[in-house]
Amino acid sequence: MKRLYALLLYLFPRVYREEFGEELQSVFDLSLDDAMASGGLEVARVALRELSSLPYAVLQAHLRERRKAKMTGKSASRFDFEPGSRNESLAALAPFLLGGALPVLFAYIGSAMEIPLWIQIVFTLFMWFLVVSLLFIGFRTGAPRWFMPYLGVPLPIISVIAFNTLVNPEWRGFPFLEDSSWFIRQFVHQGILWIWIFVLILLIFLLTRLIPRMRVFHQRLRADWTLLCFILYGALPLIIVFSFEEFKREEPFLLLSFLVLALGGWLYLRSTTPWKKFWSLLFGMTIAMSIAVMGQTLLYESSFPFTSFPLWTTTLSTVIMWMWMVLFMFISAALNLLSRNKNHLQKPDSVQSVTG
Amino acid sequence: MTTDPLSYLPLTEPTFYILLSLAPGKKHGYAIMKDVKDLSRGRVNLSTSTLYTAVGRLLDQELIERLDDDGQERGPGLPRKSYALTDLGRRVLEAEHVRLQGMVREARLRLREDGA
Repeated sequence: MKRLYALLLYLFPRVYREEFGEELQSVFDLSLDDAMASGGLEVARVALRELSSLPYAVLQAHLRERRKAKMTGKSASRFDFEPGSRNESLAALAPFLLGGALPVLFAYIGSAMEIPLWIQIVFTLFMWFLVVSLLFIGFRTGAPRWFMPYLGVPLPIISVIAFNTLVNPEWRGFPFLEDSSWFIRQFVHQGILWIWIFVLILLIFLLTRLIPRMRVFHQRLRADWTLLCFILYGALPLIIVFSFEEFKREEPFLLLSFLVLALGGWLYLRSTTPWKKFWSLLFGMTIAMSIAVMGQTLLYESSFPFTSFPLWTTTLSTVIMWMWMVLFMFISAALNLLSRNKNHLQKPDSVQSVTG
Repeated sequence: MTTDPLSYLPLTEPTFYILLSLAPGKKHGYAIMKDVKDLSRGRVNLSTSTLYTAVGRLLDQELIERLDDDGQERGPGLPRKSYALTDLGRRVLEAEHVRLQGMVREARLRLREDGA
C-alpha cells in the first residue's frame, strides 16, 4: 500500500512533490504503521480516508502551483518540457508512433496471428485516447513546441471535407483544363484538395493573434517560423494513409513511413537553427513519401488486378502530393522571411529561447 | 500578503486546530495530525494529503514557517521538516480565539435569557 501511495504521489505537480513529496510519504507510512498496530479495520479506514481525500488535494495542489506560476511568471506545468529533451521528443512524436506506427504494427500482427478484432479496436482506441489527451494537455499548457504536430493531425480530414463542401461538383473535373495534360490536371486537383491544410494553418496563425489568450502561441509562431512547418508535418500521417486508399497489405509500408516521419520529427527537435529544422522535416517527409510510392509500386498488381489505370497515375499522384507539401513548407518560410526582419532569423539562440 | 489578522477570520476548523497544535512549539507533520485529532476529540481526522494542502496554504499565507530539523531531534521515520507558528500566525490564532470567545459569550447570555 505504501508503494501504491508513492505512485499516487505522481498525480501531484512536480514542484509540489519536490516540496512535500517526502513528507507526504513519510506521514502516510507512519499513519499506516499505527493503523496496522490497531488491526485490519483501522488499516481499511486509513486507506479509505487517504484515497477519498486525494483527488481534492491533487486539485488544490495543481491550483496552488498555477497561482504560484502566475505570480512568478514561470510555467509550473510538468508538460512544458525542456526543448530537445527526451520527454519533449516522446510527446511530439506520439502522433507518429502511438497514433500511427503502433496501431498499424498491431493490426499487421493481428492479421497474421488472429488477435480478436475487439482487442485491436480497443488497442487502437487507447492509443488514440493517449494522443487526444496529449492534444488537450498541450492546448492547456499554452501550445508548447511539442504540441504543433497535434494541430496538423486532423487537417487532412478537414481539408477533404472543405474540398467537398466548398468546391462546386461541376468544377471537380476541372473542365477548364480539359485540353491540358494529365499532370497539369492532377497537379491542380491535388492542389485544390490539399490547399485547405495550408489555409487552415494560416487561419491558426491569424486567429491566435486575434484571441488574447492565444497571443503567446502567436508569438511563438512568429519567433520560429519552422513551427508552421511542424504543424504541416503533423498532417503527413493521414495524407500517407489516404495515398494508400484501397490498397491491400500496405501496413509494412505505412509502418516504415511513420517511423521515418518520427525520425524526421526527432531530428527537427534536436536541430538548433531554423534551416536545419526545416531540412529535417523535409528529409522526413521526402523519405516517408518515397516509401509510400515504393509500397504503391510493389502492391499495385496484387491490390488492383483488374484495373485499367496504369500504375504511374497512382504513384505520380503521390509525388504531386509531395510537391504541394514541399511548396507549402517553402511558402511558410517565405512568408516569414517577408514579414520579419532578417536579423532575427540569423539568431537561432534568441529563437530557441522564445520557443523554449 | 496582508498582515491584518482579522482578514484571515473566520478560520476553518482544521486550520484552527493546526494553528492551535503549533501554539506550544514546532511540530512535524505527523505530530500535527495526531494532535489535531486529540484536540478535536476525534472530530477532525485529517488525511495526509488534506494536512499538507492546509500546510501549503498556511505557508503561502505566512501563518506558519517550515524549519529544518537537526538529526538529533528526529525520530526514526519522521519527516525532516517541522512547522512553527509565525508572529502573524500567532496573532491570527489569538484573534480567532477572541472571536470564538465573543461568540460563546453571546451564546451563553442568550441561552441564559431563554432559560430564565
